[in-house]
Amino acid sequence: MSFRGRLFLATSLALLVPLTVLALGVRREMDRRLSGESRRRGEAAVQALGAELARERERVAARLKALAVELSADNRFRLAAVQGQAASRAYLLDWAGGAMRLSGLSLLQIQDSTGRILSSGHFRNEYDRLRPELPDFLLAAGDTPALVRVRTAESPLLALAAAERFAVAGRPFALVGGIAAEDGLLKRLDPDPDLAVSLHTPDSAGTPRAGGQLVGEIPLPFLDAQGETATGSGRLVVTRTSGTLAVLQRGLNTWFLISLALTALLALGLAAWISRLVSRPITELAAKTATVDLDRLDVDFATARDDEIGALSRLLGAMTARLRTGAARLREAERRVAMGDLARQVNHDIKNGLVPIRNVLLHLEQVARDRPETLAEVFDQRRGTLESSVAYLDTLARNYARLSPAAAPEACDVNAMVAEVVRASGAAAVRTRLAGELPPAAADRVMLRRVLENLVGNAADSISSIKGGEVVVSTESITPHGAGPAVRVTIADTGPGMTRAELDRAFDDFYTTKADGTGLGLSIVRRLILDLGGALRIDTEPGAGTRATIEIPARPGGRAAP
Amino acid sequence: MASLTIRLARKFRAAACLAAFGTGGCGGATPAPAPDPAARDECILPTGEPGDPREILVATARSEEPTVAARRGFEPLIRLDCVGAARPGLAQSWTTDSSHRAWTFVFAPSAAGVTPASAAAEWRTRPDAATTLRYSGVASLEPLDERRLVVSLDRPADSVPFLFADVSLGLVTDTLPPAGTTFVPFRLAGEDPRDALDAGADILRTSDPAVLEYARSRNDFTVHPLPWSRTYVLVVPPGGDGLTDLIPGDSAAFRAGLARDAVHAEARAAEPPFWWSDVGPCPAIETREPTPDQPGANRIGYAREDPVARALAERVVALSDRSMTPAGGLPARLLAASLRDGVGRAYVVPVPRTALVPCRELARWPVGSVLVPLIDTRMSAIVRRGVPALAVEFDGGLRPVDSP
Repeated sequence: MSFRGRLFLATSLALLVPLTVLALGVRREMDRRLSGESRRRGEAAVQALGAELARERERVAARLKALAVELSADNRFRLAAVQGQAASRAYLLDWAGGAMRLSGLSLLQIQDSTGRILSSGHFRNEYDRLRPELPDFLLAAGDTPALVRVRTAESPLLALAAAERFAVAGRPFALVGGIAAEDGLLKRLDPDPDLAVSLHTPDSAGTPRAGGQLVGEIPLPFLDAQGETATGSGRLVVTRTSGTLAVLQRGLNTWFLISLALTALLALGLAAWISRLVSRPITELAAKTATVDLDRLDVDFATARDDEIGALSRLLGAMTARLRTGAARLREAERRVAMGDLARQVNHDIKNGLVPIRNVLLHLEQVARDRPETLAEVFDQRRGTLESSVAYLDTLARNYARLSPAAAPEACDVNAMVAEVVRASGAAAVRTRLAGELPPAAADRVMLRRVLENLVGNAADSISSIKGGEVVVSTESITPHGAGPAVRVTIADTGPGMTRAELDRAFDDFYTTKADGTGLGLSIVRRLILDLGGALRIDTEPGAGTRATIEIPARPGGRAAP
Repeated sequence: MASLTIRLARKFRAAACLAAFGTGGCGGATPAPAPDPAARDECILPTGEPGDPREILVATARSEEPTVAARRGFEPLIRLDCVGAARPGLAQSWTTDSSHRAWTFVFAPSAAGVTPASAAAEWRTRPDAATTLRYSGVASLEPLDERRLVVSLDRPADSVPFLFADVSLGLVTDTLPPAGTTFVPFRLAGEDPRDALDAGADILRTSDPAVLEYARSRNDFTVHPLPWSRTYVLVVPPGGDGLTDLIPGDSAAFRAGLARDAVHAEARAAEPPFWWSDVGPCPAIETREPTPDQPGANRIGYAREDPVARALAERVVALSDRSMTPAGGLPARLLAASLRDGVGRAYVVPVPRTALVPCRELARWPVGSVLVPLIDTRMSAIVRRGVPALAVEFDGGLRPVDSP
């Protein structure tokens, strides 16, 4: 695994693990608190329900007590119920209905001492039925809220009921009254939107509402007085609806998962960014370092970083500079050795070239002394030898002259030199884009000219066989990090470009891809640039042309030579 | 009890007499009836003398047919007075031949705009009239001239057929009623009929004791009982026979108790004779409409707007054991459909004391049903003092007395 991969993995784990643990802990704690709070609210609601139910029963009992007082003072009731007066019977039959509506009850019944119904509000025409068990059951329940189910004409009525006994003319009567125990009462009792209250009688399903969680139950005495009397125990069941709490928990889980996923994504992104931030300069430094060798010591390690990477980069730059100095010295030593060899070779070659000349001269001297009349004839005979020897020496001089210049730095007007070289090249497809304010370069004019001639010539040769090809020579002033001002010259062509292998050999002596090339061009250019203290970079790609960039130290404030 | 529980057989005997009033017999005469001054007086409310023509505001309950509350806007061929005697309507006289199947009606000259030909044409084309004629065994209608119409019956009739007093055969004339007095409908604005009296209505028919008591307490109104016009019956479709056991053996006392205690209306124990016990064979006429659903199944159905029917249904439920099906009120249209299909356990419905077209009435109940008569009810007319004299018809309907 790469350094970057290990860094990414470590950073991810360092971010994700604590965040996940934190999120799980928060979620668990919130769930525990929600459930606990919900349970406490449910228990409190059950207690409140019990108290409210008792209050409802008390309100029913108070209304019955008031109605009993009213009936005791009612003459028409006395005439009908005690005296049996037929004319007042209709009044008696209708009394419970009116009283029930006025008192807000849902169930109201008057019974005589035998349990015979004298008047019924909820079921007007059930008069004369015997239902003595109804008041007996309710009175036996005392203050405990009790449920009864009675008949109406159209459907059974489940009521929270109470009973009250009273006497008229010494004859006992009973009032039974109640409020409907379903719908309205349950809505009034419903203490919490998260809770559901339901009534369960012995003959109804005893399980809480589907999906609900049982919170508590309140037992209630129950009497079914529809037909055959049946007693039992009813229940007021409080369940927690699966609605609100479940929705809350689902919402919590959803947002928890969303936030966890976002956090994970952010953590991974952060880890990727950090690992890239750390590894990228190291990778770039490694790539630069990989290009350094004795022939390529112009790699730029300049950086503005203040951290360890910057320090390492500067160390490599200094090391490269030292190598460059050492290499220059080595080359100088080599050059001197070579010069010695060259001098000997020149000496030998010149001697070789001079020998025929000397021989011809000696011959001519001998003819002039011995046979003066044939001197002209002999000169004509030996003229070819002289000319070929001179030509040889001339060629020899030109070849040697191309190998070993002597640097003499001075302030050079690079723009003027570029223009002159381009003009002298005679190539129409070479254009210039020269900087307006360009400082003079500190360079040997001959060496700089030779550099430009080689690079422009190579570029012009590269497009000679390409229709529409062009060469652009541009200049600009630059100030590299950690170095002084410099002049940059860029020669870019739209030629065929070079492969990596071709580029690797391009700086070798006597390597050429041209039929009439000497293979010394780029080799000489590179040496000249190094001698000038500048830098050379070649960017090329097959089919995309070649861009040669040279950077020559500038001489600020200097006056450029024309 | 047993004497009053009547099972509707599939084959009915020939109708002999439809009169159902306590004092009434078979109405009509051959030839034209001679007005009986005594009977006429009996059917005239002593409210006032015929006076100048004026408009009389007649309050009409929402559920009440305006033509029943007050005869207005149509004229039958004959009329039945409060004791069930036939009286001239558009026809001033009638005769029959020896077979008693062909009856010739002579139209009154005052029947402006109505001729025998136009009457026959309208009856043939108007759906309700055509149905009435089919149920009544009318074979043909033959206008003889501008004033005479011959009606041929499937079976002989000893008296003038009462079907020609039926609302469905009423005809619209171009003239005002003879007395020149006009009935103007006065729709109740609210639920309480007393509001109509306070708002200026001249006539109100009701059986509500509270309304009648209110009217009696006011000096500007008089209260006049109308004929017993309805009998409430318990209709038990086939398969629900157990319900009839709910009725105590002492049926007269039971019915009297019902009339006295169970309902808020002027009522009495249902009294025979009942026309449905003596109906001849009826033509099979398919008039059924699609039933929207099966309303009132397994309930004791009644009309939701009828408090008397509701009270009686409640009482039947109260007398039953726990397994008894409860009562259930239905809108009139759904009740009619439910009753026709017999899907309920039973029904408490009012039937007219006098059925002008018995077969049409019987078609509303499932064949094989058991009818248990419960109570008779009647309305009373509350009439503002000074209103011209009013004639009472067989069903409690009112109309202005003819001009002297």
